[in-house]
Amino acid sequence: MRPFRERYRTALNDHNVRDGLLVFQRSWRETRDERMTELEALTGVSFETLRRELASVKDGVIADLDGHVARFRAAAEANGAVVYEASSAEEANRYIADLCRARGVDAVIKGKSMVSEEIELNDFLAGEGITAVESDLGEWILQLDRDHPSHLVMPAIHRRRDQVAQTLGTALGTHFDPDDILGMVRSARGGLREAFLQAGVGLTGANALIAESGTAMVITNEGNARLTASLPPVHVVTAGIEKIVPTFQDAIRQVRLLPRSATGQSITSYTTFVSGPTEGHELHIVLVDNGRRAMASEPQFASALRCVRCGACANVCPPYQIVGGHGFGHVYPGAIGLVTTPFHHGLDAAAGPQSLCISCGACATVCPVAIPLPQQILGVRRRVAQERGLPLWQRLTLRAWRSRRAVDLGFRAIGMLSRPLQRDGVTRVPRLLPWSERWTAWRTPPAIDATPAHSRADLHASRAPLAKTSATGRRVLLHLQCLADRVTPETPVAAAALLRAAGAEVVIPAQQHCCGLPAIDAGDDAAAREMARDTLRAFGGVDDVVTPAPSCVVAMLHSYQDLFADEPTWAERATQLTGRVHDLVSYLSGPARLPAGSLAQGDSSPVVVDRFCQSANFLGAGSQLEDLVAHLCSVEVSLLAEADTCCGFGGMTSLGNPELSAGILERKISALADTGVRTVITANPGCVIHLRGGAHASGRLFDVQHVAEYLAARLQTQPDEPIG
Amino acid sequence: MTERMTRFREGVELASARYMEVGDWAAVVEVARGLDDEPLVVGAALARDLAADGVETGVLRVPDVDSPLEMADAPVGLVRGVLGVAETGSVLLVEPSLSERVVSMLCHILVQGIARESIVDSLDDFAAWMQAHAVESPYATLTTGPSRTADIERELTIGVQGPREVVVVVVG
Repeated sequence: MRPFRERYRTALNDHNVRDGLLVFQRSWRETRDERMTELEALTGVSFETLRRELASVKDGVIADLDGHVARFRAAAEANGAVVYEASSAEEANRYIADLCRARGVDAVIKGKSMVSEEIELNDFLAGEGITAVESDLGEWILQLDRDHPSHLVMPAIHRRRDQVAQTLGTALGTHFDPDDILGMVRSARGGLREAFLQAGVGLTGANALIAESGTAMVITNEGNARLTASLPPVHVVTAGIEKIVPTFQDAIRQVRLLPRSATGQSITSYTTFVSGPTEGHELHIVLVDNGRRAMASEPQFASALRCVRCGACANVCPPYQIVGGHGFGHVYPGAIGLVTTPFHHGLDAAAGPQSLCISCGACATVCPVAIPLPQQILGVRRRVAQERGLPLWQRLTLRAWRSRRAVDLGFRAIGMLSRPLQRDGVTRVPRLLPWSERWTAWRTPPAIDATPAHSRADLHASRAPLAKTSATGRRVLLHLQCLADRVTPETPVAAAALLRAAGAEVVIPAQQHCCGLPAIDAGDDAAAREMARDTLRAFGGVDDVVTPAPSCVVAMLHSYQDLFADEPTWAERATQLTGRVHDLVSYLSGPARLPAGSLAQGDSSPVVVDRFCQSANFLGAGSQLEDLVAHLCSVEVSLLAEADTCCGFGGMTSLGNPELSAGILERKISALADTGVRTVITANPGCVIHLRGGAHASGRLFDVQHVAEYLAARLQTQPDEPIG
Repeated sequence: MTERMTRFREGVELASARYMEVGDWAAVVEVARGLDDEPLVVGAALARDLAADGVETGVLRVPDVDSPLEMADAPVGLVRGVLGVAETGSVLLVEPSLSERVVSMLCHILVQGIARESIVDSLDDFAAWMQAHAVESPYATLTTGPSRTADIERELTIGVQGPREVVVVVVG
């Protein structure tokens, strides 16, 4: 496989990949959601419960792989199959090659099998003089071009019809009209027939191995696996040991979730159950470990073995949409690929792809086996950082970021030095600095105020409550957020005003600093722990902690536990944050909820809401943001299309891989442009900066506002008499 | 029509297959023979049972165990489903021998006859059946509609490696 940077570059330059994947992701989302809703109606059980049930079946297997392998093996052998356990890719390949040789076979036919890609079986067989032909149409097209799958279920999704017409035309010695897809497909049937006739061995994967009966379950739409398993006299099933499920009932749980998650089908055309050899034929089952038992022994990563290879995690992934599976993955594409690659192909192979994750959390929301993919990807990132070290710029930035004083000085200096370049809330970077274009051409940097929020008098100014709420009289610590404090100081100032309007006693300790999120995102454990400890220390003596930055809430509630895995005292302190730490929107929607119409006076122009991805994906905020705005203000509130999809800010990711961030931003900006609404409300400071910069660079006139700013501006215009 | 049958029919049609109901196997054969002039392809076990029941079949082609591929790309094949699953509109085919499998895999149009009383509600019922019968059914396939692919620019194309048309005929 080519080096990561080269794959990344190629993918970025191929706009067909991102255009095709954008259309695909949108249509997949729609059909997948329809099918899941149907399933919920059919079973009377929620997706959440269904996936937890399947996850728990798989967890039972992962916890006792040896026992399940033994049970499956005994049942399969009783049926007349030959079972071989391969601890490595080499052993699996060797067994299959030796079997071919022993039967005098030099041509094999294959059904789609990701594990065969993982162990690079085709190359191994070629080295032994054995020709393997892929029978899945997509895989065959790729094989003819010496290409590799870029998606778990739709391997050739990165190929355009004209490329396919060329490939098939050359292979079949004919000419195809690129729009005659039916013609290409029907001709491929004939083209593959010869390969079926010549093959002495048929190789398939398995979607599940059913222990109680020694059955291999294989799912396809084309029916090619049925031919592969039937026509040659020897059928070899190759599958990872984690594919075992105890019973048929368990396999059915998987059948209900897998095709819906993969292709938005309630079931595929063929679900085949092979429980023994066909009369006169042989059946071999190769059970592959290749790093799986090692994965099972690591508490943070064991649950990744639940994966049923549906590809849903890629189908919602914004970076995957931009670069496709060749960049966003190694052999296994998508979020799951970032997690499993170190175990199958080593940490070096995982280092590049994992750097593309922007931690939006979308993958975990659709995973049919509830794998905590975002946390696991950060876990891989931590390992990469530990073993290979961080890039110098990141190391230096994070070292400086640990110190509140250094961050203050740095931003004050930038604020003063860039003053001459500041206009209309942005900093116009002169063309004299061409190297900076990679970062600034698509996103104009914000104007940095020389006075941070914590030094501003209006942050501390008292104000009369607007109404009595459940937060009235509560001591509420306002976590300013390090970035908002210096870059968008009006956001924390607005948050303080709103909390006071709801009757809270706002406490703003001077020693508060960064929650550690940038270090967590970078995989810098030591820096992250130091900042997290400081944050936990700063949070004493108050009733609630509220921040205008939900990203920090996500870091505290969803990353601190992993961070302090080896420090139980701190882990315990982190646990106590649950229920105490709130993002501003949820606090204003809950305890500090003002009466309806409290901010009715003021600008009545329509607004469009873009939800913050992590609020949706980690905090389950749902429609909280748009509901809050509609509840308080009498304005027309619309929801942006794909409002839960990340805007591409991704913290340090947008510095390390700016082209990726730019591509994701483009999707958001074009959705915003489609609304025709000028005022855009969102809920996280980083996204506000990112969207403002993107709007400016693309010449759009959006007025992007943090919800705190939007609401606080209306405080001034309300009647003096308190309501309610 | 019971709820189960309604659901089964919806599932069959959602999977791009045709749905029909007839009184007996003679009528199923008639449907299949009406689809093309070429002789109907039928597996050995079904051919034997049809003959034993005195069903008028006309000339049949029965795939040979040693050279089953001679049947490849025949216009119409007829098979007998073991179970129907209303939840998904699927028909379970149990095909221990290759000569039976080629009928369902390689004919262009596949007619699947399924007895009304063999239709169950859900995949759970199917799982229970498999649990009891897996060992004596070493090769069982839950088929749902024709062979399909979306591998070229995700355009759904019916009929790639297997049949391009499936007719599900409920008997009785």
